[in-house]
Amino acid sequence: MTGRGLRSPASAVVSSVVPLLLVALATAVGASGTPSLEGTVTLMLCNLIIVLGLQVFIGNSGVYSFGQLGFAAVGGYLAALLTISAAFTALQAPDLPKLIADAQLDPLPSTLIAAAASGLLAAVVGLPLMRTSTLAIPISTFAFLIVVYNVLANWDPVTGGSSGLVSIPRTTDVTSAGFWAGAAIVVALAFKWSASGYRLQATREDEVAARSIGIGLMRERLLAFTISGTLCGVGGALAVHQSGVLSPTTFYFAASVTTVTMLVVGGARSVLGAVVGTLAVATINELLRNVEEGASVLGLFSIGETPGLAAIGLGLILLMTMIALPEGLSRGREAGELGPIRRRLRPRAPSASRPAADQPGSRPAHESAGGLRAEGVSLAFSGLHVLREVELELPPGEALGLIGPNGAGKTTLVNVLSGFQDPDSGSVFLDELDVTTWSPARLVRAGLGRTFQAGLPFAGLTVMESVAVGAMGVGVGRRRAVKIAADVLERLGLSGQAQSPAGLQPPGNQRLLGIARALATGPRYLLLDEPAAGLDDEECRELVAILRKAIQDFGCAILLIEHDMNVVMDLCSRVQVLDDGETVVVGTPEEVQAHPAVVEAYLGTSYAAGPHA
Amino acid sequence: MLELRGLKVAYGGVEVLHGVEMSLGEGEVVGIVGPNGAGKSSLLRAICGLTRSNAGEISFEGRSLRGLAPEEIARLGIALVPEGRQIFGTLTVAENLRLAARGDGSETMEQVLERLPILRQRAGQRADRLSGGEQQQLAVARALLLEPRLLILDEPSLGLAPKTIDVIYRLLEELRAEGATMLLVEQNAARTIDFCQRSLVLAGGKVRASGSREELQRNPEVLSAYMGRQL
Amino acid sequence: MTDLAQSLIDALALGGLYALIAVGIALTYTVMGMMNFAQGEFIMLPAYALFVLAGLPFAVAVSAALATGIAIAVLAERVAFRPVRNADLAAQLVTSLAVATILQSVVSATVDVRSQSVATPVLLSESSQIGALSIPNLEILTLALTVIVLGGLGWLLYRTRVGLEMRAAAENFEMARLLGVRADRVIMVAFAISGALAAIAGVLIVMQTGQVSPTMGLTPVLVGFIAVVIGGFGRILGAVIGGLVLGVLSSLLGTYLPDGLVPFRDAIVFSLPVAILIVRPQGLLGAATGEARI
Repeated sequence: MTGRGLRSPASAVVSSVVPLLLVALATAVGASGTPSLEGTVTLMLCNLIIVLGLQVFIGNSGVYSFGQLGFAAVGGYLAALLTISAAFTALQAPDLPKLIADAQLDPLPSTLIAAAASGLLAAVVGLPLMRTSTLAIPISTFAFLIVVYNVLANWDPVTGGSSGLVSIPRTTDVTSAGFWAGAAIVVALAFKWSASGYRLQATREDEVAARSIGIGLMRERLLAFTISGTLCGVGGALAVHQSGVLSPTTFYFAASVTTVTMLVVGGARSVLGAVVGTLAVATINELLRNVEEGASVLGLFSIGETPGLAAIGLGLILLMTMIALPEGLSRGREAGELGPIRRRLRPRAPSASRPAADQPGSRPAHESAGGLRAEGVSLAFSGLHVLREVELELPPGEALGLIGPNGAGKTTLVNVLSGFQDPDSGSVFLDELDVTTWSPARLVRAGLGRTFQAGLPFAGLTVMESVAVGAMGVGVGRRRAVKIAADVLERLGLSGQAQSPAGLQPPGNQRLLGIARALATGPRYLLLDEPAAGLDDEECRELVAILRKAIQDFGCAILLIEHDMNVVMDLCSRVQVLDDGETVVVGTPEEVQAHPAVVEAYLGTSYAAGPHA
Repeated sequence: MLELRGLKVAYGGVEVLHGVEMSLGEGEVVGIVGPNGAGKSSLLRAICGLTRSNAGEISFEGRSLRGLAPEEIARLGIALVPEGRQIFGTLTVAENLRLAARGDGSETMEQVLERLPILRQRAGQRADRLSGGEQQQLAVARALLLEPRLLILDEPSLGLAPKTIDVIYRLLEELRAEGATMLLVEQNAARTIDFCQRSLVLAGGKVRASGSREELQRNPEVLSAYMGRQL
Repeated sequence: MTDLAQSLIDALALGGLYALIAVGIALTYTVMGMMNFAQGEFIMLPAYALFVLAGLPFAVAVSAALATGIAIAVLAERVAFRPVRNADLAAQLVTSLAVATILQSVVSATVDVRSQSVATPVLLSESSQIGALSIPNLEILTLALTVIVLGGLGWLLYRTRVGLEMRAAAENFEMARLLGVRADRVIMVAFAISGALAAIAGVLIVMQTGQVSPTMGLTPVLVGFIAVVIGGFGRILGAVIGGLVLGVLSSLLGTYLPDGLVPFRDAIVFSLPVAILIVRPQGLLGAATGEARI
């Protein structure tokens, strides 16, 4: 299925409806059973809302946060204090500000206020936390959880201290929980399929490649963190209004483990996973609890009281999932994406596909005075001089080849030009602006795109999503991004693969994908790092044809690092040769090819003298 | 000594070697050349156990290497001098060497230090203070200390100045003269073909051509046809 | 003046304890890249060994605690962590969370979920007079142990073959294996040492608080994590410094914080490292990378 959009309408509908149906089913079961069953199901649905909050952040960013229950705690406490009657509030939390203490709100407004407060807290806390490195986020969020616990447990006059709060109106029934859970599912899916969601998923797939298409890591994480905190706040608020009591340990370590287990077992990457995982783990938990109390198993034999069995069982389930089924029950896919992934065996782009009309890409190519220029760029690390006073000039609309033996510094030069490395000395100019210290994201928005030698595909996204996110990275809205992506894919002959996972594409297609992704950002200057590496003759010829056409259509200047002289000759009007960090010569391909210094640098002295008789 | 049959290796879900055949006898010095991304490194990594192979056979002195851990393969007598040298920068030169030395190792250590006196000089220094060429010598020395039956070198001249490359190759010539079995991978085709008795051209994940030094040097078209159309 | 000196020694003792915890975590992190959540349980279980063996001579109980720490660490590695050795960091972290949960629950189920008292040997609850200062013997022991243990670790790492292999593996695991270093053995040793360090910390904590509880490992493991992170990832020395800084800070805050804020001491202590991380994401000792961010 080619699909004009990011997914087929059928798939989207199925993915949305199935989780909602599951929730509806659970709600129905809860509503028709004993009060005890209703209570259990209601709590499960509240947990689901929290798990969905976790999914929004963890699933899309690939980073684990252990602090989300801190937001559930804040939401729960605030909602409780708002709904507990003034008399009881005065008893339990004497120093609470009068506004909150006297309030005795209905469940809906209190939940909404709790949600807003948690969201706000998440935004405030997230600001510094998301600036820490990817590895430090789990730890700093864990610290946040402990800080919250500490404050709640020790601030007796305001929070009731370690004994917590009681007499919370038990206003959450299974239907309202079900409704909120449904709403949370909608929010989670909407985020996942939004431009912001895609940008975040791109950072999960490959942080470096994401930066190369303009995505701001911290910004995207912060948004997800805030939404996550809000959802957790809702879950917390609803949960305390089911149980009627609350203490600092309600939303602490044990609950963190439970919710993380639910998410992981179901599959963190999908909303379906969050739902399935919650249902599965909650059910098993209940079963184990019954066994704990000495119930008989299947009527066959009875086990005496074994407290803690449920917790051990939970831990074992989590462990086994990590070892045997790390992607979870849903394998990280939504309901509409289940089923065997059809692998297209055709490794080549169908050459019959011709673009409809020669249109420029997302940005009109215009004659800008300026070009991309490097002056006196030098860089050394670990004692090695990788670049020595390198100069480079790429006027708008031109094609410059950059060749040289391995280790000559070509990729490093591209890294410097694209903002991934800062030179020790020298400058880079883009259209007369000094961009030497600009970040990759800033450069992409200014019209400088690049590809990577290793491709760096977004393996977990489809081909279409991978390219569309390129446009989203520079701020294009989702709808237009999809159009741009469809256009680019067609020009590069990849339309047939649009719905296949990017990670399963053959090398030739992956190269094209990297180029497509960069083209989707609408670059005026495109740096290509060995796009033909590893391709055989036929694939190479096709790549050249596609590149030539794409360059014409999109009107961008290109800097092409290549070993393959034929590719260079076909595409470039000028060639610059780099050896050992220095420019050897700059000229037309013919000039360069015949230059003795170049021949020697590449092939060594034996060939410089000519082939042996 | 070393035989590869129908070797297929995938890297990150994509197959990069589509069935490689190769054999290497004792005392032979064989080169592998080919364009970047052709799979040369993947081939070496598969032999040394760093990357799993999907299909095919790798056998060394009659014994299958597939599924063995890298440390087991090293102990069987295959030593790799990896691309980029990969010496332990935070350890001293002496520690780098000691790590590789087997048994009491003092005899072989002496021999190796004789060959590469600069290492004796720098024994107490942190390895990341050495120049590129010295680091390369250290990497080779380490491999030699493993007393290998097969020495594999992955792009030993990468990033080195021509004079330094000469130093390294003089060392390799010594080893060759002593009858060492070597597998040499280089981007610089001419140098490799010149140095090795026999070379293979690996391109697009398959062996496209092979021949003796004379054969390949006599037919540069063979080379350019498969080398990614280079100069 | 004596008060200040007294406070400083208290602070250093706590710093030493935290340093021991941090190094235990840093060791498995540098060798394997894994942040081990279960280290808290490696601290808790030996403490329970002391509780269970309360009647026996102290030396016997402590030896048993030490053995427990080593055994549980090695076992956890073999059973739970080895299968996920090649998984990504998040997966490993969650796996260690699972192990922690299981161990905690087992103790809750078999002993009790509530905390239990453990008697401290009389000698350790007394103080010694040194000059003008009266220093609790436990603190003297902690300081002495910290120095001895860390010194011993340094000797192990820099003067033995095993230590050499561990340092090499920490820098470049693959390359170490190519030189014949046995991955399984190096990792096992790293875990065994971590377990021993955790056991020592657990014993010291029990002696200090007189209590054991199934969740007693939670705060120490967080402290250890934070110490490793603020000291600079992947540096044993960094972990030591991070632990010292956190311990000193925590102790001094406990002494000099105004009464009203004392209950929030932990909250303050745990917020500060995050502030450090923001200003200096690579940690106090971490190398500022001028290299490719690729």
